Amino acid sequence: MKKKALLLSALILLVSALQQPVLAQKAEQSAAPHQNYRIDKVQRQQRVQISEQKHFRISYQPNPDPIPLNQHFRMTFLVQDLSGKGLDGLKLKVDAGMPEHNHGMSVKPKLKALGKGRYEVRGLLFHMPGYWEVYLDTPYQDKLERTTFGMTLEMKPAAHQHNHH
Amino acid sequence: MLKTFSLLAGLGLSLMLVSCQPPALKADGAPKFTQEEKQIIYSLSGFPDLPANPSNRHADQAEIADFGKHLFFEPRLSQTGEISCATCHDPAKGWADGKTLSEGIQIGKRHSPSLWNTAYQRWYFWDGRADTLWSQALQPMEDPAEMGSHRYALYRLFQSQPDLKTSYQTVFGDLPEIKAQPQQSDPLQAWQALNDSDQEQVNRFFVALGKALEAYQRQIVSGQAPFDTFVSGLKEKDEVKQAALSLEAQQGLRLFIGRAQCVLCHNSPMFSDQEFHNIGLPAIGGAIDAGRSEGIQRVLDNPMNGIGRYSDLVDKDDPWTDKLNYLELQDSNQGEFKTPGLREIGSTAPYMHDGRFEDLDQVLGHYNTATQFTPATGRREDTLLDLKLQPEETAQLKAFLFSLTSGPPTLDLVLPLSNTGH
Repeated sequence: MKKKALLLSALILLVSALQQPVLAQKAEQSAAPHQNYRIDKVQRQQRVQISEQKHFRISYQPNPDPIPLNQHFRMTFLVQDLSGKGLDGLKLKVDAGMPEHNHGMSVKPKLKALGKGRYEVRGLLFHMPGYWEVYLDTPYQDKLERTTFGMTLEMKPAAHQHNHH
Repeated sequence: MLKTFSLLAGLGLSLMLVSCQPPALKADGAPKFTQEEKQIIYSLSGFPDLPANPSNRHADQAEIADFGKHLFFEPRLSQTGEISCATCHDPAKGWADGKTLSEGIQIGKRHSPSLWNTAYQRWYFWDGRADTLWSQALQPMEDPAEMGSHRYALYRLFQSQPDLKTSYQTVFGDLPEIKAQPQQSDPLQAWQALNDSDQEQVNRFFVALGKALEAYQRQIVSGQAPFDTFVSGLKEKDEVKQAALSLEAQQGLRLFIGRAQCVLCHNSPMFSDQEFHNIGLPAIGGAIDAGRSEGIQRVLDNPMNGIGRYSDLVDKDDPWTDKLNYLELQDSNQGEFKTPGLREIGSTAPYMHDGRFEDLDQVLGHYNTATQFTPATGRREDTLLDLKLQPEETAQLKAFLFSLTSGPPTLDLVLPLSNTGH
């Protein structure tokens, strides 16, 4: 009888312990109801992505690198087909947002073709720390095909510091 | 079998403890900050170098800054001869005025913001209708509710007042010559009588005043606050320095960067993201203030902005211009106002763009129930959730916010030039 009670207690403890992270996750989700990630955690680390319909291979290079929090920056995309050929003359669209906060950027960046499949975006600004997604829409036949890049902006001390008076 | 049960129970207990782990505390109850928390805390202390302003080649010239200081405290720049920049930006009142709404020649529509750390701002005014500090400084001089003067009246003033003329000429050279001498006493009518070339000369003179005012105001940078001493102590593992923050303030700091999420918008050593947000403030009577949505149009239309012909910008492709070149009005801008920096917040009450909150209790009270109100205009950002702070947590956050105050400005910033050895 004693053993049964002990086993029951142990199982209750184990089940409650295993439930805790799930409950915590649910609470987190309810506090941020607008989460709608387009790519998984592994993909968020990658600077090279294949577009959603798998017609393009696109990579990016930010300037400056790493992307500074709350400072304007620029970004160059290399747009290739899957054989690695750079694609020019595309009418690309770029946007970015924070899926956890359901907002975008406070600016309207513009794209400029550089040739050899390269396109520069100017006027980007990530004004809030946390996880951002950049969306590049590439025309394929009569549709736009989306490629999503993930990047996390952290708060870091300034490299050069002003002397206090 | 019993061993198996004990192991199972022990495993269950350990898992539960790990998953329910409360925030780490020291023996005295002070937060034991994690490495993640420390990284955020370090990012909030230590001002970066003053940001360059390529649109003002005089921005960091000491003699121009001295002239700007003279201008800042000069009431003759106003139409009545009684209002100076310092009237609404009094160094003894946190470079603000302590009033709900600014009071120049008339009562203004908004609260006077503090000038602490103004050089670090990306936009000026609550609605960001100026993109440089020199462009900002020009507007109150001609605003009928503030100083009520006119650029041509100022030109005449400098022509007629030997001390002003000399101080201008010492740093900028001769006052620009204009051919016409309109007889109208009203400066606006006289201005309209000038030809384009003469108006351009007056504009150049007027812009020079703004650039000198910027050079002076760039020096208004906060000193070391108790929070900064605490951060040094945290880095150096120095308990004495860490004692610069009370236990209550340290708990407030953990809330600030943690559950309350203040740091999402109030980040960097200036405690501001320099951008604009609609935080859902309800209407309190009077005209609806559209905020940023009007500010964007005004800054783009202003010929005296950072990319206009009065700018000293050498490289038109300078990334510094991106903020203006890629600015676009969005629906979400309606009812947005600039995130104020929190440095010196203890000495800059009242708060918000319209000065509606007398103290920090009222400010935090708003964030406690932010989603319960209908915004006066526009759409409240989804980032805002009701904080639901307990009274002791409100006290902790307040204690932390008061630790961001470094004290009065240094004397060389406020004493007349003759008393500072210049």
